[in-house]
Amino acid sequence: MKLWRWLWLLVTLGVLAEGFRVALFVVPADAAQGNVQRIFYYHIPSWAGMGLFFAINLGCSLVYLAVRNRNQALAMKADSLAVASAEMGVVFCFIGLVTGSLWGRAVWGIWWTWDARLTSTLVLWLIYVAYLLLRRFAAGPQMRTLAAVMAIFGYLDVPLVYMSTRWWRTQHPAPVFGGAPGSGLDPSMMPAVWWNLAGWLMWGIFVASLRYVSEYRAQKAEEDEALKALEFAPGQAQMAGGR
Amino acid sequence: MDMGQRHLVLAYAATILIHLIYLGYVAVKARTGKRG
Repeated sequence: MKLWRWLWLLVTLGVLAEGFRVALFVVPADAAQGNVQRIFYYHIPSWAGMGLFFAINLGCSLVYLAVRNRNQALAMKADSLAVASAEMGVVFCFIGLVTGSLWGRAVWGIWWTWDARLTSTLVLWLIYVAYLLLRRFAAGPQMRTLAAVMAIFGYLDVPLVYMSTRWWRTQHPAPVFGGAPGSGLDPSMMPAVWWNLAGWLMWGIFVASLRYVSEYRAQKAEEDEALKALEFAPGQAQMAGGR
Repeated sequence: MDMGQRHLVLAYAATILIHLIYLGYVAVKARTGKRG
């Protein structure tokens, strides 16, 4: 691992440790919910991470479709980053669902309900799991193109998830940030949000960059093998023809 | 420890655990160099 990655990891772990300390021991407990509200400081970064990495996946899929016939090297980089960002987004989305469920059980008395926000988020998670399964099990040169198209359609659910608590008032609370007048968090609680948001996004970038490197190397090796096979094939044909 | 505190601990532990599991998966991928 390169030096800058070690430095990035070191800073990330420091930010996460500070975020953990501030969230649990510094900011005040919520007046209505008590300590369980502190789940918010891990819940929100998960959604932010999901939004960031699914957006990167969308961008990379668009780039891949645009350049796949003209610039193979860029297409391979875009596709590798699309895989890494989709996986990271799925991880963040899953954590958001798990932490939300644990929070819901404590304050609503239920683990799950089919409300607009929860259902649209579960559908989003399933779409990206399907995207990864397609990449894992489909074969042939069209797989990457199909995956890129699927990623573009899959991303259509992201604005739906974001707007679901604005369009439909069901079980999930109204938006804390950017919601109705008077919504928001008490300023004394904001340091816990900022530290954890920064820490978990930095963590996501670190892990996704590692995954990108391994995926790119694997795709490059696969391409080199295919080229070698093509170089070898004419000789084989000649030998077969000479017999 | 009441239910709220218990679920808070579980949520933080689950977050860290899931991230570590995925990091493990990424490390294995990097080591084996296989696609999928």
